[in-house]
Amino acid sequence: MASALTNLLAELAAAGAEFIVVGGLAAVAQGAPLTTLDLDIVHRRTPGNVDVLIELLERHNARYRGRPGGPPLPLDRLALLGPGHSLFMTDLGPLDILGAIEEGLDYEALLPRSRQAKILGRTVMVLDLAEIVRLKRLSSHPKDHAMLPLLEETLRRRGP
Amino acid sequence: MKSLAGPDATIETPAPELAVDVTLIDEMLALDPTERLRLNDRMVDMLEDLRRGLGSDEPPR
Repeated sequence: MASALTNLLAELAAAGAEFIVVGGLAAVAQGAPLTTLDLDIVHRRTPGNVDVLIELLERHNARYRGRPGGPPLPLDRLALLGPGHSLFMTDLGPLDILGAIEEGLDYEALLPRSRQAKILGRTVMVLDLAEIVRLKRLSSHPKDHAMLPLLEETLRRRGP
Repeated sequence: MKSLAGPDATIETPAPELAVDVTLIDEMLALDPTERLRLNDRMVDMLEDLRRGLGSDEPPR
């Protein structure tokens, strides 16, 4: 299956979902030369927005990742209303829907730290590279520290 | 010039700074966000092809 994360992102925007792209793809969208395998989003946790996400997930045959083999589980609406992380595989690629990230930062907290990007003609919000760098610096994961020089240099060359 | 360090002194050299390929960054910054994400899609596909190739049952040449 060819990677279609770009299409997945555009579909989320086209569906009217309210979310902020975080993680690797947010950095790539802002010019960081790295490769990321999945789309991470922090979503607005309102019932209406969760319904939009569920409808899209069902349309793209989403299944939970990291679960033992067996029949697919029904989508957990309650979990999507909470701050936890729901990891899916869709027919357009892996999608991680995060209620909150480090420091308990949720959609409302991250929105002022985000900027608009045009993806396939759709406007999406991506977490600003400066904020991504700040969070990576605070992280205890070696993988996050390994990519810091590249992210910091991208930020320096991009400018404000 | 005479060293002030004693015979048991250890001189620590700082760890070398990681070099970042700024050419690649500049090339990415010249693209628009959609083009950058499409590039990521292509890289993911290449990695997947490599992974399948490395896991292949065919004997090495």
